[in-house]
Amino acid sequence: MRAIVFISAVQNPEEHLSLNACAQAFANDAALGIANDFDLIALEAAVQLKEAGAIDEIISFSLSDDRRIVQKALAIGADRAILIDVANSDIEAHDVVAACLLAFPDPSDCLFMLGKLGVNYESHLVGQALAKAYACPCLCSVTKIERADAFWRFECEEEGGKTVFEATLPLVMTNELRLAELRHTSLPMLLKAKRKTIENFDFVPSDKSQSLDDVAHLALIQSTDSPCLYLDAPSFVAHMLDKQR
Amino acid sequence: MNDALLLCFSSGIDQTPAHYFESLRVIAALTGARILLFMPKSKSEFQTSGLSGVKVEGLDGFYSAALDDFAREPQRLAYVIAAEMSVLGPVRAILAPHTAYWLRLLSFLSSAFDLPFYSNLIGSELPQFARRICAGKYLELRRPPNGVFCATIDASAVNTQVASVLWQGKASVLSLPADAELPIFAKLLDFMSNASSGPQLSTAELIFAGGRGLASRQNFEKLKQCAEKYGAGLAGTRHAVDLGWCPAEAQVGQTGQSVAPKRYVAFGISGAIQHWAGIVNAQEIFAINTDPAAPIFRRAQVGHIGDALAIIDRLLEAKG
Repeated sequence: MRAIVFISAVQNPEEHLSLNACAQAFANDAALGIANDFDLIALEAAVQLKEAGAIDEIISFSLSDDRRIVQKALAIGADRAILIDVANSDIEAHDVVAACLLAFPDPSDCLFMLGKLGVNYESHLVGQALAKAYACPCLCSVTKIERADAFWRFECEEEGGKTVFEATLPLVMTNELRLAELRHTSLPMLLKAKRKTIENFDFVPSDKSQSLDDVAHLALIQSTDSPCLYLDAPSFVAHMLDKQR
Repeated sequence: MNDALLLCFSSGIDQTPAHYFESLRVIAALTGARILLFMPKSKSEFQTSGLSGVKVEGLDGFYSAALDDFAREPQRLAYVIAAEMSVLGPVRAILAPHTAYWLRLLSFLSSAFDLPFYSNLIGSELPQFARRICAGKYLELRRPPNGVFCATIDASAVNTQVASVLWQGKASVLSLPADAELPIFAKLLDFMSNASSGPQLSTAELIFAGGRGLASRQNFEKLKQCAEKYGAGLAGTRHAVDLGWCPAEAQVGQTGQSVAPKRYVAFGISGAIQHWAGIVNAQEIFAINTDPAAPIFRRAQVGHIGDALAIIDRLLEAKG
């Protein structure tokens, strides 16, 4: 059994971003500077599954020109990594699917794990497209995974509650933050990661039949701080009640 | 007008802001396509209430789906809709409100038909295709597509009044074609409900939201009681959800949902940029926090520097 965990780069909300001259993309490196939190939590869940003996190998899979996110995945616990060197801005969901089919032609023992906000404009497309390509089930917003022999049981968050599903592999899942709690990477883990294998594949992004090919224009939303009326507790409550009337 | 259809989804008239239907009308005008509205109802609901009294101005047809069997299985539901679409006629676009449920379904449909997917379009910016990115700091603008597309529309923008919709036509019922070959799906074993009785966050005019500053589940429960007394929607930050103080669907922010109430009251919420992304459309923000430097005060119109629990107690006291 193999867990294939997709690690993608996302914008760091804490970093100051600037736009390029034609305002169609971000200019600085910080634009896609950190590994997606959701993906790292999927990786942590995979590590816990391996520790419990449910899976044998964890493979980190990335389409990115940023090796740092792969090194982080190896430090957290991936056994090896596949890195397809493509500029982040060129990646679309169908590219990820095509690259995955190339890297994993036989998915029969694979659990594909993706963070909720994967690549492709946060549109949640990668998991669904991957499930279509492999003709396998896809479960979204998973918060719990258990294995009982050949069967896997998943709890998924839904509007108004939780659903419980049972399935066999191959299967694609996207996860919520509540799937696992990310452990801190220690110095020994970082050193161990340096000895792990990073495989590279030659891959050329295909035609953009599914992409948003219309020219994008980005604009900074000017937000001005509003003057806040500070009130003591009784006045605050009175003001609220007054507004309610 | 041409023969093409806008295939539009809605969870129910009383759960959908009027703004969403307004957005559908704008896209219909832009594309020259007719609106066909899908509204999943349970079999029993469909049989007892039918669809009398439901109308959307500019609406050309109405589909109701007896979806008891599929509603909790978006992959299967998308397959059923995809199978049915072949008999509906040419589809110009597939549209739905930007909520977790519809986002999931449309991403399956987008994958099924290899269609480009525009998520979280801002309804008030239409006919421009705009959406907020980077935790709401930037606006991304795209030209409307020439081809068929899928899109979810930020239904929280600007107007939260519930749609007044009337329709006197006949509805059709969606069912899986008998000869359909089903792919392999996961087997649904159970559904555990945690639905709250309060108003929907997407249409609530008043929202009480709690964060880390409430300090405990008991205090969050108190906020819940307070919200019930005031008829307010109850929301939480990611921290509150992660600690199990409130259900995941009540999470507001970048990784939760966006809301646009008339008044948003933030109890013990610092106002980090990730949370701000979800309340950017709130008309008025009241904030209570012990930290005078909390970012929430930079955006709030009315603030109190102090204990959120004391304010909850006072509000409960005021309601007796």
